[in-house]
Amino acid sequence: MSKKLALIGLPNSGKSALFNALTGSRQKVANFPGITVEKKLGLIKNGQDTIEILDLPGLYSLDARSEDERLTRDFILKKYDDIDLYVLVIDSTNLRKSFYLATQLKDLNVPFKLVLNMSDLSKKRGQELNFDFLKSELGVDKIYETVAVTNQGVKELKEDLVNDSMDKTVQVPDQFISEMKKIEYVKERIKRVESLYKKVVLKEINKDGLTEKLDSILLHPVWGIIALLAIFILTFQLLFAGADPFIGFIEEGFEWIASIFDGLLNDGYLKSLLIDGVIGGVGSFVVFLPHIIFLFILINLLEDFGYLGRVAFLLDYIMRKLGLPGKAVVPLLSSHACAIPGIMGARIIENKNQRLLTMMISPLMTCSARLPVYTLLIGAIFSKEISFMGLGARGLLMFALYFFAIFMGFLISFITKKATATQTVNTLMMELPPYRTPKLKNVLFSAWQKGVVFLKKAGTVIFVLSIIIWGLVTFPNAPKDADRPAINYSYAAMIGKTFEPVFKPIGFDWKITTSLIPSFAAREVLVSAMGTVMAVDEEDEDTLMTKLSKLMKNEYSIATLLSLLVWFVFSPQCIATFGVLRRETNGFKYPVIFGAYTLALAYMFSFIVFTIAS
Amino acid sequence: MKKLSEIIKNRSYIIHSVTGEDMSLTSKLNQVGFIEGEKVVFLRNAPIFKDPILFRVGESQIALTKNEANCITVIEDENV
Repeated sequence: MSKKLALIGLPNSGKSALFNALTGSRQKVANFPGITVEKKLGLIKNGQDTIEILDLPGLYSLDARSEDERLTRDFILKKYDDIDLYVLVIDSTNLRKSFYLATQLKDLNVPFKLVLNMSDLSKKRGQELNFDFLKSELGVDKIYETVAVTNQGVKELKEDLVNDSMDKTVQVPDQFISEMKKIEYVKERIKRVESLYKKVVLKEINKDGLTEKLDSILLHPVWGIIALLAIFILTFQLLFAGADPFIGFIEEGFEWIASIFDGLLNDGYLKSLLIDGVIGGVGSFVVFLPHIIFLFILINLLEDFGYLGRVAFLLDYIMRKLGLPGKAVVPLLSSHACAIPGIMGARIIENKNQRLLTMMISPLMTCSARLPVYTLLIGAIFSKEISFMGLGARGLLMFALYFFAIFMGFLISFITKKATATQTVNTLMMELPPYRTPKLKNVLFSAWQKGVVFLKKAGTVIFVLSIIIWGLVTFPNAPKDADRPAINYSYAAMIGKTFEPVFKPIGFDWKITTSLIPSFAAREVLVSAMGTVMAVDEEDEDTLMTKLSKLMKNEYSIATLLSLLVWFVFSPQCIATFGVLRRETNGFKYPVIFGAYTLALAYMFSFIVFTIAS
Repeated sequence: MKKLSEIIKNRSYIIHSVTGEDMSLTSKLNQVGFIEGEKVVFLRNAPIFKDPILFRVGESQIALTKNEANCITVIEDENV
């Protein structure tokens, strides 16, 4: 059995960068029974030897407060797996704070290697240390000075990690966990840290003038807000502009593949399964990849630069009142492009409850897939000429829908906060790290990783569901003498007709309920599905939209159209959302809760709107 | 003696005590650097609501909510 290593350290110590430098691309996401926090498992390769290394969440001390910190603590105190050797990563520009955890590890006889990361920065800023004293006080035989982002010192550390073993076993005194919470323990520990710091640091670090200068602009009451808006607008412009060509490219690619099979095969189930089921199914989730990767490139850039923490600082007060951290603005805004990268973007939130809450309300934001549906329905409700106070009614309704979605998201968050009254919501205690230049390699690599994880984990669920939907729409075949479109004879239509009475109170007929089924694959499919059900024979999308709009205006009452519009604000319409929620929460519990609450809200609000409008 | 939430901007203070009912909160404040005897400077407020507040303590910049800052009392640093 090869030995197992784990990386530990304070938040912002550069632990993850070191993990990447040590393992290169040889990493995967590790799952442990009963643990929902994600941990990365990597392999260190040195010549013939390979060892496993785990990247544990950052913590300030063994007196853990958050879920993530408790996990790391429990590993160190031997509650889970046996780790043979720890690597304690210390930010060398921030020594005093790191010594609290370091001395705790020493006292418990935890076998660890000591790494002083970002050693270039501390040297540049004039810090001088007494290494021999530090070694003897922390019981280590060597101190590794690294600059993880440029791989400096990593090779030496790697070699020693593979070759060395430490003959130490963790000894945890009785009642240790309650003991270390006592004021006497904390005071005594701080005294020790202070005296260690005074003896180790021969010359203190110079102040970081650049960070203070930048903060005086970026955190300024006026300029700071303007800068925040500018950075957000730029970021999401880049997200759309950067991802859109790739999305178009992917869509064309899948159409091209489909056209090849179209020419090769004869009409039949196999052809339909391949083209509509398999190729369509794979295409339906690969198409999310550009948004995910671009969002994470942008998030990583902002995070590495040090700005994400500033976002949290600027917006903390308002968001806190709503039960969310300031940082939640980033995933919520990106959900306006698509909920999938938004839900994944919630990873930047450390607190588990807040992260969950953000993931649960992200899909309510008006994603771009709703736009075709809104355009269709609004087109059927208002004609172009109608206006209020000089503003077009269509545009106003569209704006109202956006605003309503955001309002409902915050309202749900606020109610959840009141209902659960979690204490952690009222704390911030967040370090704003010094600004640093982002390292492009790290930024790109970590964004790519998120994309791969999405394809592997969420992709399978989305694919399977796509095939099921294909089956529902395709089988059984229309009879030979069919006078209506084939979908009218399918299981989807049978389900639609069966559920018609359930949806009657909100004004939907079987044509609408049938069209809702394929639109579970993606919301915008509603347009083409309605077109098929209502037998609008039109290939061109724009013409289909206009024709269908007119047809629906004649067929349905305004109340029904409004009700359907409101339905799409809430309905858990897209299966990719379920796939990614399952992946991010590591189970079916939250996707099911999400499905239930959005369905309930959709029905309730559609009912209210339909009743009032009728 | 003053509460940390009430001190004057850009002036150096020394932490006198970190107290509060929630022990895990106070010990956490200790660990991130709010330690008795440590120097602390109030750098800036968040816009509009003046909450949270950014401090420099030791070598780092830490943002606290007003509630958190209320747990800490300080005295003026006479050596400056």
